[in-house]
Amino acid sequence: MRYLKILEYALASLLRRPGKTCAILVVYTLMIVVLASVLFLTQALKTEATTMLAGGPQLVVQKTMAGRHELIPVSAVEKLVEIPGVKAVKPRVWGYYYDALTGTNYTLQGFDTLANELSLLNGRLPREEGECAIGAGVARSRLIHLQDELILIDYDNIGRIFTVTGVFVSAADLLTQDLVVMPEGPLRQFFGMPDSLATDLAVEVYNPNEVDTIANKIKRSLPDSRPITQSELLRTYHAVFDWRGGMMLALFSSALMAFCILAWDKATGLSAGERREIGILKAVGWDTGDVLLLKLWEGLALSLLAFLSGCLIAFILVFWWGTPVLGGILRGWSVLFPALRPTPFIDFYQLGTLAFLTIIPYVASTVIPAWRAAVTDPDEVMRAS
Amino acid sequence: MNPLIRTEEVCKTYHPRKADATQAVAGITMQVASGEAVVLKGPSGSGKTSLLSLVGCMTRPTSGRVIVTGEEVSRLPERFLTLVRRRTFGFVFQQYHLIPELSVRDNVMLPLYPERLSANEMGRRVAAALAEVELTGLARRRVTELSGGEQQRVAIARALVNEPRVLIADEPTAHLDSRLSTVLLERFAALKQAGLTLVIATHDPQVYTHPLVDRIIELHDGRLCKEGGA
Repeated sequence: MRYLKILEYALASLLRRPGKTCAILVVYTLMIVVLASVLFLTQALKTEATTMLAGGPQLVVQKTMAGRHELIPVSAVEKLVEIPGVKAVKPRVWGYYYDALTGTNYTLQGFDTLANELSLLNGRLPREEGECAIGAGVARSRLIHLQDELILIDYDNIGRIFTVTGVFVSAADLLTQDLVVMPEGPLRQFFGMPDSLATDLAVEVYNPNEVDTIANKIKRSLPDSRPITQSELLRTYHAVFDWRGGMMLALFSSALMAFCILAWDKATGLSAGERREIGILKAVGWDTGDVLLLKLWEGLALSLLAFLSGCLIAFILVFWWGTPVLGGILRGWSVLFPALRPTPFIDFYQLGTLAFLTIIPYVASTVIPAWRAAVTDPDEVMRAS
Repeated sequence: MNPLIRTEEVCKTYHPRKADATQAVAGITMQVASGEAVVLKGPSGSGKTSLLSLVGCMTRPTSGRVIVTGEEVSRLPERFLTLVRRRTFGFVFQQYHLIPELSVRDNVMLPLYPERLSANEMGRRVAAALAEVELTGLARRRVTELSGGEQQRVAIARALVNEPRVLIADEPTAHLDSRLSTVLLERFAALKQAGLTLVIATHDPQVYTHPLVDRIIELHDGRLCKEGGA
């Protein structure tokens, strides 16, 4: 009962100082928006990468020449299937296409190489030449829908017309946003790629624990190849997103600094009015614990409100508005990538850490100076004011 | 008869370890009986307010003892000292010390927050205290909208809301004209009649010559220089 009454007084006390309360709330909320946006986006991109790779092959083999990725001969499949532990090897045909019309980059994939777990939003997968299925990002950038025509310029600078037979939807937006899928034959023709070559080889193994061993064997069998395991890819993605997120947090540390200055300003002293109020409360019978409880409620109410508002705004910015500013920096594709709306994912551990690092210092900066005033005799506090 | 309040050789020095150390009270022994109206008289700087603070458990003595209702309070832990202050004393300060942003009702309610009272009981006590000082109609007004006399009545209502045994008033007529001072003293007389003990610090003759006063303790430079009936 007593706690609730003091909470009620604390809330009324905040409302009595609307200017100061609003100023702190705005600064605090903005800081949380910035920090939480970076955390949300980094985590969402890492989750997307994980989801995307989970549906991909356990091992991808690329050919390299002078350290660069080259097309790999399909004949290498025969060598690889003979390696013990290898279950299946499938040549994949895919490549990139820069669409000058919209200034975006698409990924074109042969139908046979596409993972089966991708589901269609509507329509069907392409069956013959002149048909394709596209990702939602492509549909948006080209303003086309099901059964519309998609014109792409092939390797010989000839415009080719494809009928959209399906639009993709996937939990991993990162995988399907920029995707254009067509049967393997027409895609080879489009890229001018001979039947004897493939972009890379997808390798399936019997025992996932032996992927690294098999990768070593492949490297020995095909010295000019580069086997890439799924876990290596995942680590790379995570490292890249973590690094970019860290860079952004470093850039936004100025916001954090501003907040620290605000907290320090609060911690180093109370205004004459606040000291006087504490003196009055003590004089009329509040003990130090009551005053601290009042300040604790004030600090908690303000910081929780700012934290929750900041997180909510960050969530809307990242997952609803598609992170107009932060997204490009973190994804790293800038304007060449179709607009991305990451699948909502929140790491509560990170959120808890953010709460700990922002709420605790603020509450402490509210309570500590109040404590310094409250432990003084009310007589002295009132004489001082 | 046991006195309600007693001080024994009580001293108060502010900033004792600093160069500007000031001895406000220097070894005063006095007592106040239950139901008595005692005036602490003396010029500015004579130690009246400091002695009131000591008697009212607002501060601790540098040396000596303060005994309230038979219990020595000068060495009590802060929490218990606060409890004694809240349950035994009501204060009317010279500057009133109201919180300007609060309404009359909320100012009067302040001493009740730490108590384990229901909202209804709090409301009842506030209403009773406001009725006592005839401010019921102004309950929702902000204290800054009130006159000086009305603000002092708010301060008195706040002092009474915890149903204290002792009312302590520091220079209660300092900001009042002669007519309002008379009204205030009549109110104090009525409170005394109802059984309240009064300890008033003043140098206003209108107060210490008023019939409600039983005894005058005269202070000079922090020392008790004269004590006697009014």
